[in-house]
Formats: sequence, C-alpha cells, structure tokens
Amino acid sequence: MNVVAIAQGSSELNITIAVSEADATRALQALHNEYQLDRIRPLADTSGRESKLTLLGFGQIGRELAAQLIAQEKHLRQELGIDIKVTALADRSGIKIEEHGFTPAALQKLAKQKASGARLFDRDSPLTLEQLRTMMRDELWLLPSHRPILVDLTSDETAPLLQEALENGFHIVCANKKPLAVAQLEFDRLMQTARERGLALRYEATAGAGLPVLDTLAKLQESGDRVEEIQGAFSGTLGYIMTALEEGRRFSDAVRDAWKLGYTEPDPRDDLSGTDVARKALILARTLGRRLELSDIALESLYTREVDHDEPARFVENLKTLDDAFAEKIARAKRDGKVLRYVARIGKRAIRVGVEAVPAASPLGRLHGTDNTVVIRSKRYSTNPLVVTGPGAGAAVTPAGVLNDIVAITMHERRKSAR
Amino acid sequence: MSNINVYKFGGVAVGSAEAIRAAVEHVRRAAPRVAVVVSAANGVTDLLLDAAQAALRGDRDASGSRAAQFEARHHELIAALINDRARGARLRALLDESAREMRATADSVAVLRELTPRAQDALVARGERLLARIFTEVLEEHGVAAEYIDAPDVIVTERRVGSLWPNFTRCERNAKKLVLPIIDSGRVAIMPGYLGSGPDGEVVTLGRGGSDFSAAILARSVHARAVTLFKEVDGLMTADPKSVPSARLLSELHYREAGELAFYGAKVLHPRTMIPLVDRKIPLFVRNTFREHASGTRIADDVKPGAYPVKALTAIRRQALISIEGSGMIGVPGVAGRAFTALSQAGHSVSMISQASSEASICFVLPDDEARHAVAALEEAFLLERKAKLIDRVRAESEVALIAVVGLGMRVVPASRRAPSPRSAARA
Repeated sequence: MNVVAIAQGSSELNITIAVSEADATRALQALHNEYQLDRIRPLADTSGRESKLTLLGFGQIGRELAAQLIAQEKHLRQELGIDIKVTALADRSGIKIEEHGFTPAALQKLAKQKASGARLFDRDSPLTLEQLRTMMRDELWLLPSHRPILVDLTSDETAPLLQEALENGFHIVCANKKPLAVAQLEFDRLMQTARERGLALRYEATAGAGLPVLDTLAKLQESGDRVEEIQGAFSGTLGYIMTALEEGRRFSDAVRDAWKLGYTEPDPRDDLSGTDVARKALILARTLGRRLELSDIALESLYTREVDHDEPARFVENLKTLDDAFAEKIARAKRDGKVLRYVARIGKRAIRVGVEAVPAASPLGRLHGTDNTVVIRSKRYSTNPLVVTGPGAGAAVTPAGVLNDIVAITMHERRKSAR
Repeated sequence: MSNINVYKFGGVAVGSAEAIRAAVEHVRRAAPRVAVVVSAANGVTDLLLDAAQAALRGDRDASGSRAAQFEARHHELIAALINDRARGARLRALLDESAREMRATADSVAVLRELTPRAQDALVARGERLLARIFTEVLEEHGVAAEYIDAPDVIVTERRVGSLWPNFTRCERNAKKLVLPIIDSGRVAIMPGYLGSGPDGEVVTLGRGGSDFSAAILARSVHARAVTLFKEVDGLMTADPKSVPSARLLSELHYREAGELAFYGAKVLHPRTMIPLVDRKIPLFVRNTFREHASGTRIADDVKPGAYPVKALTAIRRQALISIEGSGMIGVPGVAGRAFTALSQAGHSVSMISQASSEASICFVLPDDEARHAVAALEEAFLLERKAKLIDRVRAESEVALIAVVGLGMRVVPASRRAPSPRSAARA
C-alpha cells in the first residue's frame, strides 16, 4: 500500500494520511488493528453491564446492603461481568446524588455516620414522603443514567413514590411490604406500569427475607406447575416465642425476652398482631395471581383487646393474663403430639393467619427459633411438599435477598441489551 | 447550569409512528424539565427540496405529486398516533394549510422560474414545523403537558463573513423569554430543528446537520445540563463499521476529538454541533433512540485521553491530491501563499496541506470533482514560473482518500511509540 502524503495538525489531535482510494478500506483496517481499537470497549464502554442504584432508606438493611455490594464488587465484575453502583441515597433527611457512583470509602463513611445516629443531611425535621417525592422528581428522575434501579428499604407507605419511579423508567427492588400490601387496584396499577414499560418489580425480600420463596414459586409456575397451597411460618420473632413456649416458658416471659433482645419491633404489638405476617401472605397470594385485600385475610392476633396498651412495658406486663390460656393450649397440643406455630396458610379459597397446632414431626413443627419455613404444595409436589427453610430475618440475609433481585435485573437487562 | 435536558430527535427517530412513540417515551421520562428539538420525518426534507427543484424546472406535475406525498405521509402519522378527535382535527387543519401553502409557493416558483434561497427555505421549513406540532400533540395525548415554540422566535442568525451564524446572545435572551417560562410552568417545550430567522426576520435554514446545531444552540441558551441527540445509531464508533467490521462504539470522546472526527467525515455529527457547547461545558450525548438501555457516546470537556492515544479513524473518499513541483520554488518566498490565494479566489477550500522541507514540492488535498478546476486556476496563477521552468508542473492525482487518525492522547505519547508509522499502513 502506498501512502501518498501525510500531515499532522499542530494541535496533534489528528494525523491525516492520504492514500489511494482503492487502498482506503485496507488502510483503515490496518490502522484499526495497529491501534487495537477493537479492544477499546472494555476500558470505557459500560453499556449493558452497569446498574445504578438509588437506595431509599439507609437503615440497618441499607448499610448491610452497601457493605455486601462493596464486598461482592470484584465477584460481580469478574464472575458475572456486571457493575452495580450506588448513585443516590435518599432518606427522610434528603437525597444525596453521586452521578458516577459513590466510592466504597464514601459509602462506608456515610454508613458510619448514619449508624452513629447522625442524619445524612442537616435537617431539623424529617421530610414527609410527599416532600421526598418532590425532591426525587427534581433531582433524580431526570438523571441521564441508564438502567436505574430504585431499592425500597423503608417501611413506609411508598406505593405512590414507586409508581412515579416506574413511570420514570426505574426498575424496582422492594424489601418493603407496605407498597405491595396496598389496595388491589393500586397494586394492579404498579404491576401494569412495570409490565407496560418492560421494567422489573421484584420483591423477594418481602416474603421470605433471604429465603428464595418467590424465586421458587416463579420457577414452578414457569415450568407449568400449579401451586395449590402455601403454608409457612414467616415471622422470626413469633418463631422465637413459639419455641420458648414449647420449652416451658410462660407466654409473657417469652415476649418480654424477645422484646428485650430486640427481636421484636420497638412496639411488640406490631409483631404480635400478626399484621406483618398477613402482609406477607397477601403478597404471596397476589404473586400467585389471586386478587384480594388485606382485610380478606382471616387474621388471628396473639393478644386480645383487653391487654392492649400503648406503653410497651405495660403491654408486656398485661400479657400475663394470657399466660394460662397459652399454657393450656400448649399442653393440649402436646398430648396430640403437636406443637404451636404461628402459621400463614394460603389455600385455594381462604387465607388464614394465626396460631395452629401442627404435628411436631411436620416441616412446620420441626422449625426452631427464629428460622422461617415455607411449605409449597403444588400439582407436582402434592404428596411430598416442597420446603424452603432457613433464617428468615436478620441483618445479613435480608440484604442478600435484595442483592439477588438487583443482580437478576442487571443480568436480565444485560442479555436484553446484548441482543 | 439549569437542570434542563435538551433532547433532539433526528429524522429516523421521528420517521414513523413507532419511532415517535419511542421518542415520546424518552421525553416522558425527562419531563417536565426538558426541551425537545424535532427534525422533519426522514426523507421529508429531500421531498420538499425535490418539489422546489421540480417547480424551478416548471414541472408542476412533479411538484404537485410531492405535495401529495407530503400530505399522505403526515396524514398517516396523525392517524396512527392521535386518538383524540379534537387534536386530530387541529393537526389535519395545520397539515392542510401547510400543503396548500406548499402548492402555492411551488406554483409561484414555477411561474417565475426562479428559486430564491428564501423561497426554498420557506418551502423546506414546513417539514420540521409540522412534525414538531404533531410531536407536541402526541405528548399531550400521552398525558405530558407540552407546548410548541417556533424556532425562528428563538434562533436568530446574522450575517458573518458571508454566511449566517447564530447570534448566541440574542438566542439566549429569546430562550429566557420564551422557553424557560414554558418549562418552569411544568410543560415540555417542543421546537422544530434546522430553522432560524435571518437578518430580515425571514425564515432561514441552518444547513447540513442543522437540527443538531439547533439543539446545541438551544442547550446553550437555556444553560442545559446536557444535550442528547437521539439517532438511529448507537453513537460514535472507532471507525465506520462498513469499512472496519471490528469497529467499536466509543463511550466517551472529548469535544475536540469529536470535532475532528466530524470534520473528517464521520457522518454522525456535524462539526458545528459542538461549538455552542464547548465554552459552557455542556456535555453532549449521542444515543440510539430505539435502544432504551444503550448508553451511547458522551462527548464532553472532562474526557481524558485514556489508555488509547488514538480513539478513532475516519476516511474522506473521492479526493484529489494536487501537487506543485519544481526546483524554482526552493527558497522563493510566497509560493505557497500565492497558490492558496489563487485557490480561494477560484472558490476552493483545501483539507490537507503538506510541504516537503526542501520546499521542492507542495501538495494539498481537495474534493476530486474540484480538481480539474483547481489545477487550471493554479496553472494560470503560475503562468510565468512555468514558462521560466521554475515550476515543472501542477499535477492532480485523483482517486485519493484521506484517512484521519484522531485522538487526544497523541499529544502526550511520544511519536516513536504511538504516532502512526506509514509503514504499518504500508504493511497491510
């Protein structure tokens, strides 16, 4: 090949070579090779393998998720070829945005700050959800980032916010049960928006914390199986109390222990009322395609109205009046070779959440302490059900469920963009 | 910097109902802090230019049939995109009026057998204007509040060295008055691209790649946080994939690299596009409108050379290399100067110049189809020198291609390691 002339601009930005027209294509190819321009992609091009997270809520779960992301970064990049970055943090004190992603050091610093009780931002009074939504609208929705994922780690009524996030092209990963336990019509709207826009709305951590419950259900359904019934013990707190009863503790003592150990919510009624378990049951039922409201669930509380009190210490004290009744229940169950469990039962017709006496040798009966278990009966698994058991709550497992969802979305989108 | 994004959709990105739906989706995500520049549907500008040429030839049948095509194309878009009856009626009235005006203009051109730039611009302008109107209504139909703003009210040009150039100060003043209030009231501003107003307030067009330029001017005028050009390609590539199958998408380029590439014929961007953005440091994104998640190319001020000193190659084909040779040029001042004066007087602009340090020859490159004319101009300019045998000859070698190797990093990497050796090209 013959170079006819060559010139370099004084800016040194370009070198121009004149070649015969017939040689032009070969010259381009040769130079492309020479400068290894076919390798330019891995350096800078992140299209298709990057997800940008907005963490809504930066409490214990959020911080643990950040820690897992930092710890897993290398694994995710090398084994799966994906890059997950936190680009925004939002809580009731405001939003912090870092368009290119927070560095691990910056995340750790913020986590430490938050763990020590300080707020992310200086603000006298916490923001309302509506204010937070406005801030997100002004600052977050219009960021030119591709594949944004909003991770809801709060325990607030965030459905309107999630709806808006979907409308703005965000995928959603939810560890918060409340936006999915909203009225059926509102739930439908969320799902429909996600479907219409080809966005993912995943919520594995709501049902089983770290246990792959929804994933298992999805696999069964994908392969054409039909789920007939789900029963499960979905509350680590209530599991702890049931095990303590079995070991001979009085009901009020068991609750007091759990409360003191921090196993319960600050207000133990939140656990003992069973509402939290009912929400999980509702979410599972909706995942199976059932249409119903929270109020359609037959919910049995662990305490009666007479013992109710706003002051937790007084409430726990009042529970003593229920001790004898529980002791009797336990004794009766024991005679039949059974134990008490707080069970959610999602049947074909009814959904029931409450105390049940179950055979001690059954999957539910064998459960110990704070572990959760889910028993799935389907057309295929009819005589011998499919059982998923493991720690149902805790700082390490819930974020793991969230992380799984995030990775699943990123991998799915990557395959989509590779096409 | 405001938090406004400027989006621009090119001809293919608004060329079909499906494409417009995708575009609306992009806008909806950014709404309301977004200003949108819309091209004419692909092929429409050529159709209108065709009509103008047909009218100039006096071929009224041809110009009439172009007008009918223009109508049909837009009727189809309106029918596919608009359900609301009142909206549809409004747009069809606009379309009827536009087509009627087009026929009238073409008829008068056919009568006069004269096509002034003004008449041509007036004819062509309807493509962008109509599409921007349609786009506005489609947004509204999808629940996104939007308002049309006419480009000549914002983009004002003035005559500079013989050609029109936007007056950035006035554009900014206009945008503040007309565009910002729309966005501040929660509506998306939609402006037709490619158009502006001239010194007499007439409608003018901004030339090739004009809609990209419109978007950049608008971005500058509203102090946008970024401009995104939605096209049918993924972004800028290391080379034209038609020539180099292993070409890769470039995720980032410096303004200056993009400018060089654009100048040397990478067709994705026009070199002027960067000019309004550079001093304001407004980043420019080029994205594929049909691939929602592809990140495209980011062109900005903060892009480092990176590990690749050379980032891209581009070729301009159909060029000619013209050389002036002769021992009489050695040490004689002004030969080069006279050569270029002669060429510029003859209306040629050269793209590459190279002179041997012996000064025994000088060569430069210009488009092939200008070569013969340029050689004649040079021979005339050096008539005396040629007679005195001081200059042997003026020679044109045609069928030459220029290959530009572009990269910011070439400045800092020693030539021995990284400058392209002609040998490496010759080896192939």
